Amino acid sequence: MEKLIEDTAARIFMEQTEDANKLWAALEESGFTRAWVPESLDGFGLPLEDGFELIRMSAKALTAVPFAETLLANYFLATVDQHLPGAKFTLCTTTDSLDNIPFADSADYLLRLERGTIEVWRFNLVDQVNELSGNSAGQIILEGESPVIAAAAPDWLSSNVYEQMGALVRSAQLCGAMEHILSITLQYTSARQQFGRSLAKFQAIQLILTRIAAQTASSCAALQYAVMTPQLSQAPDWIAIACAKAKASAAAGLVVTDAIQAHGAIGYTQEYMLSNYIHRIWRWREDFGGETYWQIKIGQHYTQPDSGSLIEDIFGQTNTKC
Amino acid sequence: MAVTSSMNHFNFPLAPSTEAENSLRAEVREFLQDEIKTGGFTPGADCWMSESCPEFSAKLGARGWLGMVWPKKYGGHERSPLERLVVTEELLAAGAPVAAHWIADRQTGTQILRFGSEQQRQSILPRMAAGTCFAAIGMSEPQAGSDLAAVQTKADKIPTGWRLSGRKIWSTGAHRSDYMIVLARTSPADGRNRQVGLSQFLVPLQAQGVEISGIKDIAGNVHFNETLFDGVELEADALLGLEGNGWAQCMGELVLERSGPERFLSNFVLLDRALISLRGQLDKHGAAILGELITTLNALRLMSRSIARQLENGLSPDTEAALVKLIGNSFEQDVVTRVRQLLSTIPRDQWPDELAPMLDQSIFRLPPGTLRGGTSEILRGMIARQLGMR
Ligand SMILES: Cc1cc2nc3c(=O)[nH]c(=O)nc-3n(C[C@H](O)[C@H](O)[C@H](O)COP(=O)(O)OP(=O)(O)OC[C@H]3O[C@@H](n4cnc5c(N)ncnc54)[C@H](O)[C@@H]3O)c2cc1C
Repeated sequence: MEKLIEDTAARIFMEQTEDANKLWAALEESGFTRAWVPESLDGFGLPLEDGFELIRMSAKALTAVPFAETLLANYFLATVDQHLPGAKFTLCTTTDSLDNIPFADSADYLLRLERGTIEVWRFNLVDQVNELSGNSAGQIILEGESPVIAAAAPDWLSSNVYEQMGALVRSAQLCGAMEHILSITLQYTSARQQFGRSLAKFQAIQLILTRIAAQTASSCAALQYAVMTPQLSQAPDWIAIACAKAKASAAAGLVVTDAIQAHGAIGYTQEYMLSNYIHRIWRWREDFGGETYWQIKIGQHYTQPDSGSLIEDIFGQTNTKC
Repeated sequence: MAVTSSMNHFNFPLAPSTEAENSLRAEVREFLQDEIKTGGFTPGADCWMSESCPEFSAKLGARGWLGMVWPKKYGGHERSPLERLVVTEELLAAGAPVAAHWIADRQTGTQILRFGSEQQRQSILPRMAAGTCFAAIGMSEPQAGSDLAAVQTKADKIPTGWRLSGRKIWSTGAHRSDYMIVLARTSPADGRNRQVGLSQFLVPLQAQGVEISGIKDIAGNVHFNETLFDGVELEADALLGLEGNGWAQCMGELVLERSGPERFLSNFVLLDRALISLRGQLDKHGAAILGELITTLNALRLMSRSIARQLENGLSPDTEAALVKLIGNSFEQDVVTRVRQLLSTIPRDQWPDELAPMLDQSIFRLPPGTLRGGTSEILRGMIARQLGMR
């Protein structure tokens, strides 16, 4: 990613995170919410991997606006030449269910894919549901008789692709959160003293931190590869994404357990900043398929009666597989 | 809430594969499939330590797949570390008998290239690249395991060169090797700093006074050894590199030793064969277990490629290598446990012939993964240091 873009993003996320309205305005103004929209459609036209990097940064900064959802929604909308300036979007994170929609109290529209049609709906919040979510998820009902926008999606944009791109977005967020948890846990265990020395000096604590580091590093490696596989306006490599999401979802749970353990009781409080990451992780790891969902798909893929060999795929000729 | 800029503790830049690599991979794979078909070898687990076959090593040498990254003038092939990785990955994935040459090709040859005399390079490296000259590692001693700086083997200067006395232990393949790089003390430690005063020696194992005795591993096989150096007289140029620089050289050697794909692919061959038997046999729970293994394998492979890329760029990604070895060794344990569990749902008499011995072999050959090349505990210490905890 270009330095200028990265610096701008860092500044926006760092300075504006306190005030959701200001943050949103800055993200809109910078063009980041339209990072994946081609310039010909008035977008930023960044490569996909850069958008994922922005998402990772936003996760580290605990942005409390539907930035990642809107980025992806705008990408989908652009495939049918549509644009709703300034709108905040949310997405269906579990197949077609409206029971647990993120940002249900602050997003303007829901974008979903129904039988090959991209639909944009206004909606109403029925009930605040998920206490894990941190970001006010809720049950919604769609408003009105028909969507605000309904347009036939391009062939490549199937409901699988909707789910896969969503999974990749959540993987990037999970990785950002894990990286940040590693940093704060290191800082905390270095600063906190017990028995006359800092916790970080105890081998048992080092064991915990190396476990966090190992989970984080392997998730990031899988993510880094997976974000290179989708091309703009093409179906992505689903196995690479499945590997990334399964890894990140499983890893994040382990990282949370270890981070709380290394912190002691303070790690279990709402006030301490760790809790904000933990809330999000507990939601993100389930969205667009948790680890088991993707693990099953991968496992089944390699044990179908006619499946190819693992060697071919893992060390493949083309390296487009996982 | 402010963002504290999150430090990047580890560096695993992506290393996309090239056309040259892909065609090399196809070539190696075809050769290996032919070898298996024509009875050249039977695939085995932990092949890089447990399956030795000098004839096979010579075949690889003839094809230019040993000493790949060394200069041509020493019999090498001036290929990139990533190309070498393609070859080692394929060999491991096929369970080929590569133990005879593995250490020479992976680390000893490169140490000779870095620190050996011109005469040593010219006389030894071409034979190593041909797969006809093998090597062993002489680091550990009975009293110096993880605490390597405690080595007591010593080398004294004599008019004709050096006299080496002491005892090395656990040296894999020493009984069928030509050379061993020995870490020995050449001058006393500087107070508590024991890393000074150590030097590396390139010792011909047929020299007078070298006595090698095999140690049976848990399966009863002799593959590692105790080596006694009873006043062995060495020529002056047996000193590898600089006198007193042994510790630093040895750490460089350990990066070569730790950074390869053998730290997570030792029993890939078991997983690969088991998959065939598991086709159409797994319920969702079983599929998820398998899927989890594959996601970890995917991540490890990407990280391992990244390490090769960094070596190519002249970097020394030692902590990254430690991390990959740590995760990789635990992955290898999971492979055996999970495959054993998954296969248990299929009656043994329905397994293909080669599967049962391969599983047993994998179980027997699994335990040392987390010990050899630095224990997991020691690797965690390295990683903790990188994280600033020490
Ligand atoms: C199959 C195999 C092949 C080998 N091949 C070779 C070879 O070719 N050449 C060679 O030189 N060596 C070889 N080794 C030796 C290997 O390098 C040593 O086994 C290893 O370094 C550990 O030393 P040790 O066995 O003496 O165990 P120890 O160092 O005594 O360790 C015993 C236990 O204590 C732990 N421990 C030690 N120190 C610490 C610490 N500071 N903090 C926390 N835990 C600690 C260890 O992790 C381990 O769990 C081989 C070993 C095996 C198993």
